Amino acid sequence: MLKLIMLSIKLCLTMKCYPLLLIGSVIILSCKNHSKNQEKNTNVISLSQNSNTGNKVEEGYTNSKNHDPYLLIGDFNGDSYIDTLKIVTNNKTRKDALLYKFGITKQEIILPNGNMLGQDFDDFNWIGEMHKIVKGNKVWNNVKNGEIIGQNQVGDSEKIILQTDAVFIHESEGGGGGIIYWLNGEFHWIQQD
Amino acid sequence: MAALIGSVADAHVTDLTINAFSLPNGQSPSLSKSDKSGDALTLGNSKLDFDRQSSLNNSLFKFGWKDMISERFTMGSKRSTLLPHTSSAKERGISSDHSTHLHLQGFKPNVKTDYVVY
Repeated sequence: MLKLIMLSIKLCLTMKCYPLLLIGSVIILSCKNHSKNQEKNTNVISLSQNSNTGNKVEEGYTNSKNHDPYLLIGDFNGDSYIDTLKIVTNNKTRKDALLYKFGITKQEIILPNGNMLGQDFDDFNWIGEMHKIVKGNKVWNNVKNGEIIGQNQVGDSEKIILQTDAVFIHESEGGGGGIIYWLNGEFHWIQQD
Repeated sequence: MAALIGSVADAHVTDLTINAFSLPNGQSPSLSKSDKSGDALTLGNSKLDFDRQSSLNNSLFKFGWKDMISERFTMGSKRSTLLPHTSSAKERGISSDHSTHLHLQGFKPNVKTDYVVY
């Protein structure tokens, strides 16, 4: 390919055909950019393939049969790619956990209990309500002095604008729950009720 | 607890279902899922006895619960109605579903203390 290009340049110079030389340069630059994109795509495919081979997390779990819905789709890590979040059951302990799978990297993160969220529950079996809160919405801790407070009782400075999609989980028919969102490589919990 | 017993006695309620009590910080003690017996009724369900529920709400208010959270519902000719002394969770910007239960808070009992001197 390189020899062909060099030969073309020599021919153009010999024949003093400078406009053709200019057009040729543009075509060569364009080809180079295209190969860069191909290289980028190749890296992405390679990364996901590697992740698939190390796909150990999901193997020990099965989708929860006690929750409806058990699956949410959204951009939970803010990289503009679709991720999934599932309630899964540990095959050995039979405890329910949250399994995040980030779309482009296929990275899997399991939340087996509330530890990573600073909470003391050791199971997610209590989830009765689950839905997505879309990026850009404002959320806040709605418990003050042990009581539920409404949005008008919370100052704007105490409200957080979600940078990613988040998940709202709650016990059914009362009880408590929270909002889980991802920020700066960590999960965060906001108490709800 | 005394106020709760007083409320149900006042309203002649013998089938009260309590789903959970919360800790002072608002969390449930274990965050374990409530045992759903199937007795809890969603507002608007035809099995809901509006009059009995209203009577209980009045008694709960009388015995000190000044802030009860519920949800608007339609029942027969009653459109977008609320149970007595309740407010709508949705209208307050509360995300969780309050159409299935009554949340009691704002406990401010009117307690009269009589001093007895021996």
